[in-house]
Amino acid sequence: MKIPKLEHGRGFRPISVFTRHKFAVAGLIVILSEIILVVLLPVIFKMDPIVSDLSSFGAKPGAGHLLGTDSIGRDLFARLVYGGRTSLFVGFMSTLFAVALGVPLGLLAGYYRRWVECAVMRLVEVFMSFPSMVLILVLVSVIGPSVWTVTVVIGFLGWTQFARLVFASVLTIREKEYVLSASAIGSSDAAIILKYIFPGAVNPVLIAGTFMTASSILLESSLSFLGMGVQPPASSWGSMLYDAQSIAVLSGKPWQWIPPGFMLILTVLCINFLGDGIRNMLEPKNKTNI
Amino acid sequence: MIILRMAAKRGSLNGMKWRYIVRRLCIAVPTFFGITLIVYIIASFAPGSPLDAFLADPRITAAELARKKTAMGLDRPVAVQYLMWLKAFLGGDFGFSFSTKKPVLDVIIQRMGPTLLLAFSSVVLSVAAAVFLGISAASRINTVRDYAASGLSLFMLSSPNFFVGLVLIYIFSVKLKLLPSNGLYDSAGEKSFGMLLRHMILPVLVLSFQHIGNWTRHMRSSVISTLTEDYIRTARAKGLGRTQTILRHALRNSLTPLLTVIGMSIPEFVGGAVITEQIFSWPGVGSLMVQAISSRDYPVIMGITVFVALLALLSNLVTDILYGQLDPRVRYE
Repeated sequence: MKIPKLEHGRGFRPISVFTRHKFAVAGLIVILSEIILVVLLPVIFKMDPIVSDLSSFGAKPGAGHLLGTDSIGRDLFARLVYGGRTSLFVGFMSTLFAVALGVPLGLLAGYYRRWVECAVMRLVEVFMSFPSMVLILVLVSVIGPSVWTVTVVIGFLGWTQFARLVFASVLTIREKEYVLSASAIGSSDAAIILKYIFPGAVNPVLIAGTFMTASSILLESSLSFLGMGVQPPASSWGSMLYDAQSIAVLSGKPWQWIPPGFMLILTVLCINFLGDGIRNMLEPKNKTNI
Repeated sequence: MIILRMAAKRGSLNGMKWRYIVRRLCIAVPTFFGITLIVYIIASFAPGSPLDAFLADPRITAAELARKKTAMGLDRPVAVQYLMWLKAFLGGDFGFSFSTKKPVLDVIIQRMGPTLLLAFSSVVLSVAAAVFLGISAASRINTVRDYAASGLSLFMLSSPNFFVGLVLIYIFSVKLKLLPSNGLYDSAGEKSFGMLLRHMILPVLVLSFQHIGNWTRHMRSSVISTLTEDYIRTARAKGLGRTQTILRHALRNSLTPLLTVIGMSIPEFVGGAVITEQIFSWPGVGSLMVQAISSRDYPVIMGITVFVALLALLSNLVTDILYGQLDPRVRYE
């Protein structure tokens, strides 16, 4: 007799749910190898993304320069690798920044309620009611565009989703009996929040954080594409596409702008796959009735 | 006001709703002024001054420069400048653009037409495509069709719109020479509606691309969760076909959550069309914003910000109210 497998009973292993999602596993592998490559390649091959090769301007991909050179003779492969460093760095750091800002505020608002909740959640409403692209453009142009500016600004405008998610989780967790018993035996507020409430609010943050990393990478590349993100001579995938705004580069030198665009889509797609996999693992779906 | 109070007194659902709307408006007003204040302060800290434009003129004297500064109100403290701006704004005066010397309101209204045209077309296309793809995926969950639609939507969501724009221009304008990639009309020839439509195809596609991906995912999960309801099982048990069940019973209830997502992104279509308008030289508010930022044209930056903020607050409010209309289970607190 065949015994049906229980999804949530004993022996339910989240990891096996994750590995069943083939695209998520592929996404994880691609992202991890990208991180390893952008860290190691420049060290191994002594790449320089800034120095110009005066003997070749706008060269096609070939033996000397794997992906060719740009209009002022910089090696495009080196710029692609360094651009990857920038994109991944901004993606992860701005998300960390947003988490570091949003999670504590959400925890405090949900635990203490009253005026803390009022202040934090009104602030969230103000931030959320504003279309981020316009505010990001204004902020970046005022502070002066750089990798750090872009990272901080994206993080600063992204914290609200984490505050909201954590706040919602805390509201249900704080009514649980184990929280009551913890406060009955005299645990301090800090201990209750950190030991009993925070662990229950981690899952949604992990899921939203993965998706935010993907959208931060897109946002950074858009800003750099407009010339308001990472500034030359530093490289980013978005700024490599900046040159393609001229019709000469766009139509005549596709090797200059297709690789960074391809890498952007691949990276963002893989992180989104990873996010889907994590969500499937942590929040299993219902079966439909149709 | 009287109608509001009467409704509230009856204690009906309607009264609750009105009280909710009034409360939301009370929050929206300070939010609006908060946003304008923040942007004003940020903009005034910007390096570079609008006076730089006059410095380029070698004949300008210090006295004349000082006179210009006073005329533009730049010698006052930031707080005073903000209050001056606010007072003028409430009187309907947005000031004059530093770079073109035209009234800001006129400049923005002139740019609003192309932006709204682009935004409206894109919203319609995105909703249609997302509803179709979302239903296709959700009605046959975990089949090839679901994987294809979900994969496509994730791909669209993950594609930077400037890259999509460049690829489309490369294929359709440069290689195939099928579609124009520049502005509203051709530089030569009579300006016809057909010409405008041809110019709109690529920008609308680019502006819709990510939204189709995003909304399809929302639509799919919304349809899936609707399909777990008991009334769907009842409809099926009565012998109604799959398609009929979905179109007659599931569609309407699945659209409600999508509406929130759409309402939240409306301001992105107007204020966030920056990239699309930039690539296609579309003479709208987004490209105006880029110009204004690069020339430090504070009155224009402020004007656009105010417009977009108003639009965002309004569309959030309308979305919330519509949500309650479409889903009577929603209770206002």
